[in-house]
Amino acid sequence: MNTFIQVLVNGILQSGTYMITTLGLALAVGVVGILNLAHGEFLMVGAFLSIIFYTVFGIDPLISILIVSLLILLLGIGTYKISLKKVLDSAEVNQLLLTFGISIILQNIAVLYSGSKEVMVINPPYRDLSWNIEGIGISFSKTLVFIIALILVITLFYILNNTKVGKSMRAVEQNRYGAYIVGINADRIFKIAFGVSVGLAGLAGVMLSIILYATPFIGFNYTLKAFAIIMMAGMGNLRGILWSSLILGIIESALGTYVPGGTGWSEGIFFFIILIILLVKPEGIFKK
Amino acid sequence: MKKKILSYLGIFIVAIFPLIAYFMPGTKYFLQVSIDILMYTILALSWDMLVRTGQASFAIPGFYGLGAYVAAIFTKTLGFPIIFSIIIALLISSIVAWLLGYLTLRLKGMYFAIATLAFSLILMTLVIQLKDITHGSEGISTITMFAGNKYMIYYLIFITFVIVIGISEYIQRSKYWYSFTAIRTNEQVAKVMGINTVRQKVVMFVISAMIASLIGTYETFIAGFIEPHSVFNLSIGVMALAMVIFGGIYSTIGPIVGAVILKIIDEILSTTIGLGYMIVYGLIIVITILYLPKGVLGIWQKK
Repeated sequence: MNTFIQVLVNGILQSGTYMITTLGLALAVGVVGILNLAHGEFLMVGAFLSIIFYTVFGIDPLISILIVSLLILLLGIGTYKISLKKVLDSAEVNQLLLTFGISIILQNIAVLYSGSKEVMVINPPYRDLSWNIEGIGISFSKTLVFIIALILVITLFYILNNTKVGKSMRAVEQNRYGAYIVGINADRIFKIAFGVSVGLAGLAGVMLSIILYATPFIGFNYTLKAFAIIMMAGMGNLRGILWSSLILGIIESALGTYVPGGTGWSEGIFFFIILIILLVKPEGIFKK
Repeated sequence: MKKKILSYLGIFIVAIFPLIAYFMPGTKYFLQVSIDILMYTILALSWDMLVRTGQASFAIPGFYGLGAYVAAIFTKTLGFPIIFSIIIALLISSIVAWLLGYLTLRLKGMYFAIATLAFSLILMTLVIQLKDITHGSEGISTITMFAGNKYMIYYLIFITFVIVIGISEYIQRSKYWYSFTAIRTNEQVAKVMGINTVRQKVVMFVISAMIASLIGTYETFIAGFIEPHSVFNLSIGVMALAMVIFGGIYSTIGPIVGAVILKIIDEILSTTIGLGYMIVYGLIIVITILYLPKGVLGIWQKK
């Protein structure tokens, strides 16, 4: 029984990582319709910055998180202005390829920076802290990630449904020209949405730098998983992201515990689920 | 007419290249590089042929790896001759591609891209996990073809190259050019005009997959050793795609020009800069998408 509860707890905490990595991309892809394959690389840059701030300036990730998110947000706005803006009206595949190009650039800037240092890890004092409640171990840093992810999802949900900027974003997604007509500056909305989207990726990167490690190549995997969760949840469905992350998190944690050599399978099973969902119900499995 | 002469001249030069290389210093190296270039040219062409139907696939690494592994397992574990292993690899890939194509080709844009990516990654997980058959991430070592004679290997790939150009040109000059363009620009209209869009896309997907898989089997028998992370490497797909975009999409000559230029740049940079040289690929993709929608070929055609 204890093992089972531990599996559930680990799965739920794991889902926090998924939520926090997916949220930003969900805003870009699901809400305003920008396909960003470089999402994970912005996350990776966030993790790198967090590690640099910690090792070079001795600033704790929990403090540098605001600076890093803001820096990445500005980087995102810059990227939008220089490049993405120009392909919004052309074929979807152009957005995919352009952001793919950006992801390769960011990845290799990181390679050029980190050079031979293969894996970068930081050890803030609370990294390995954990509570033990009746034999169930609960990691402090993972709980922190989970809570922050949850707060962000709720905030974003609120903003999209209740503020003018949020409503404009949804309007732009539904009909860009209609939005023009009612006086929404679509270009500005795209800029804000994309900036916030990658800013959130940067924030996720900082949080992940606390619980995991960073290499220049971690990004693409996060992009894939984030896309996968978005598809499972259905486009623009933020609540679906909560559920999808929970399901995948628990499956992954159960595999690791109950199946011998199970962690090796988790990636394959992850994508198998996604493939099946794409084939059976491409609009996502959760009601909006 | 001028174009025709130019293209025959191009093929002729590629054909006699090893003879030129024979009299040059560092022959082995040049030959190896030109083999690489030809292999990437073929992969780029296979991707381009499929994208003409409007489907941007990320299944190249999947089929490349599938071909490489099937070939390796059949020669190494079951002791089949090389030629039979290659045929079996092609058969298996075509069946897999046919199934996958029927399932995924009705998906569009990003959905299709993610589905094919998922396919490549699922295959890689299977190969890593099924250690009894595949030796997992340790990889398999096999025999090399033609006892490693680079000239023979070059000509085998050259023949494949010519055949693939033939297929690509056939598509460009036959009714398929019209139907693919129709499917790409507006699938509904294409259907109304009486094109069996699903069948055409599936057939193209199978052909494209078999080409990628064939190159995978070549890789097995050239290197004599394969491991999952190198043959299922997503950057194989990315490079093929970058070559197409850079050279000029929806054409035969574009991917060839792109592959030759990028692979040469690649070769120079990876020896001079080393780590991180891929940044140039990123820049090339971004610049091409933003400023050269028709690739380098577009500049040439304008004049």
